[in-house]
Amino acid sequence: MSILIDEQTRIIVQGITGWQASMDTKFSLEYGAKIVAGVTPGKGGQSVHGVPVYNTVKSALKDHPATASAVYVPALAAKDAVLEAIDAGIKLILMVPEFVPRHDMAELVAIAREKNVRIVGPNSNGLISPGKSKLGGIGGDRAGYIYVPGKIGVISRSGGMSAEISLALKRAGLGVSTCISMGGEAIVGTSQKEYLELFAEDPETEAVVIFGEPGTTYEEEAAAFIAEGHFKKPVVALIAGLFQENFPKGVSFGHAAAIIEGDAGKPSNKIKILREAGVSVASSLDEVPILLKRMLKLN
Amino acid sequence: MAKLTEDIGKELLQQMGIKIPQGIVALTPSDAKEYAQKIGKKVVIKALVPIGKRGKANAIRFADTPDEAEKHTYDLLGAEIYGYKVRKVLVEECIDIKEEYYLSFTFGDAERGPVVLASKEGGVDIEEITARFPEKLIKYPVNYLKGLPVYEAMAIWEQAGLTGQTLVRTAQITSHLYNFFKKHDALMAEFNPLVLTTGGEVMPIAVMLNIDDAALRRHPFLKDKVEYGIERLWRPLTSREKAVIEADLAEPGKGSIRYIELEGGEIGLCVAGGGAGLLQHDLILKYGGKPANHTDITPGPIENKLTVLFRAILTKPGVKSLLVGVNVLQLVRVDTYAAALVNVLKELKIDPRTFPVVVRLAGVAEEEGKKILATLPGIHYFSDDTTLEEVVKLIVKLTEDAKAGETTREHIN
Repeated sequence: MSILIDEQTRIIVQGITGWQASMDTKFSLEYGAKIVAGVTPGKGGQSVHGVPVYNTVKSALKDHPATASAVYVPALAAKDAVLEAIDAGIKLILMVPEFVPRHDMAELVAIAREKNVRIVGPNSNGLISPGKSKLGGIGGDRAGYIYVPGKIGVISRSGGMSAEISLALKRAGLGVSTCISMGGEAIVGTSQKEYLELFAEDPETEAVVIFGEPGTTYEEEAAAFIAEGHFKKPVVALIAGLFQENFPKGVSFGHAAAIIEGDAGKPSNKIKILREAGVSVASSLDEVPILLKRMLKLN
Repeated sequence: MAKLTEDIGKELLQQMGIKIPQGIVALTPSDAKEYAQKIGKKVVIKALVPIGKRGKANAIRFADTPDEAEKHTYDLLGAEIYGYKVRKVLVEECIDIKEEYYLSFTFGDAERGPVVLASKEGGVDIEEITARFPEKLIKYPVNYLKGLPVYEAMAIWEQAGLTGQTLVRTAQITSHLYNFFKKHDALMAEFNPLVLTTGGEVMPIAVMLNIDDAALRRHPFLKDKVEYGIERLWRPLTSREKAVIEADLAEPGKGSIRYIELEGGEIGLCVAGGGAGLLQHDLILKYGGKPANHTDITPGPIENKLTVLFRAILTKPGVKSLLVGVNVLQLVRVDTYAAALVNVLKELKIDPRTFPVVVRLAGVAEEEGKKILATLPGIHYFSDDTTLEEVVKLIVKLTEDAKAGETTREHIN
């Protein structure tokens, strides 16, 4: 099995006529994802790689029922696009754009909670359930090569690292149940802890890899969730950005969220709390599959 | 975060009808004297630099007379406060203070929404309040869909210990100031102190405002009032950093580049992919290398931007090698990177046979990219069958070898 998406998931793409959305749509269709319609206001009636384009989400869903949407519109238009999708009844929304204003995200998170909608991202490269489907650009034109079907769940704050970790698993003979690029922003729709809740319910996920970065308290929340006994499967974590602790607070070297403002955001603190929760923390990328195999008693 | 100087924050408060002390910006000592005369009472002279803790840096000074205002302004203009040169000061009336409170709005990680911090013990910085009066600091999460109505603000300040008309007035202004925080897309708005005057009025006499750079484009008023790129730094920008920011802003929405210089350092880094860049930086230090800079690249059609970025990395004095370490590319073509790199190496007459260049690039148009890199002998190229960790080890070793070999590089800076 997998979480969030599988071969049945019907997907629409908002902003489908843009260059990135169009390219991702092409690769996703080749991968087997069921993209049933696209939306770009003013371009209804056109088609992108054979996918029909509509002016609004409602009109698209009338002809082509779907439950998931990938949102590619510019950052300042993202809030409106997500609200449109929620209003039309979409239940899983991937937000691709980077630099979505923090106030817009706070509003969307509050609304999504009320309406029971799941938002992935923003600044997410998407998610993939290997061999079944993918939502977003994850894996580009070589998703099949990078992400091998298997039993490891991957939750990464970096899209690029989701690929590097999955490749490292592949080299070690392991595979992925679902891999999520959760987005590098301070406020994301779904936290690591919430993904762990989903992986806990997925019988085919046997272990999880978390890739963390400086800033926010998402890793700390996940550690508390594990420490309280809510997640019993093995977890391996890789936390980047230790070097950033040598610089003044408030500096970011990478994602907008990767800012250390207090002790909570420090990678060293995240590592400490994760270890105390029983998580196996890797000191390098190459060590991730070794630790996984040890915890799963393989070899 | 785009940090605003205090005068801009106060102008915005005035636009919303929030009462603040009377103040005028002065660019010269004689202007400051004139304004102090005009205000007609004791004034405070505040250096306008986009950074906090000015009091501790002696950048806020009191003047009993216009002559004193002139002298303080003379001393402050041109001085450096935490690396920022003072070009203007705020001449402001002194308020007769009865009590000082602390109020700020930020975003909480766990809440994923706005959080109010309030304390009856204001006037000192938040770290000090947290350390000295932890029980007196009220933390209150705001439901974004509801906002902060006066009755909720009332509950916060009642808990903080205010009573009577002061409680009512403080709650009213707190609700206004929350709307101010929201209206201007602030990541942080701090009013410290928020004061009770001897006349019984409640007003903010200082404001620190950090605007979300992601939202700046919907605030045209702020467009020319913000220095771009300083939000992630602890010091003013270097000329190479400025060049990268200019190139980045010139083509908005087409992928972005970020470049931060580090003191000293030998290994130029062109690392990308947010987390993958952080990881490589950690690994370079782990294996004993010294990074000269850090980068981050958001994918997009960024040919020109990559050229400017490579030029910045390679012209920083003291750079002895280059690592192009990029996670498997999903949105940029490998040949785009390769062409930009080879062009800049040629332009700067850098010979990869004596100046180590390690490249790990995989993804779309990999074969085309490989061919371009092969036109310049000496570049060490790897695809995704080599991990980021392996290329990090290699660049550290090659940099040491190059230093040991005393190969002199004729590299025009």
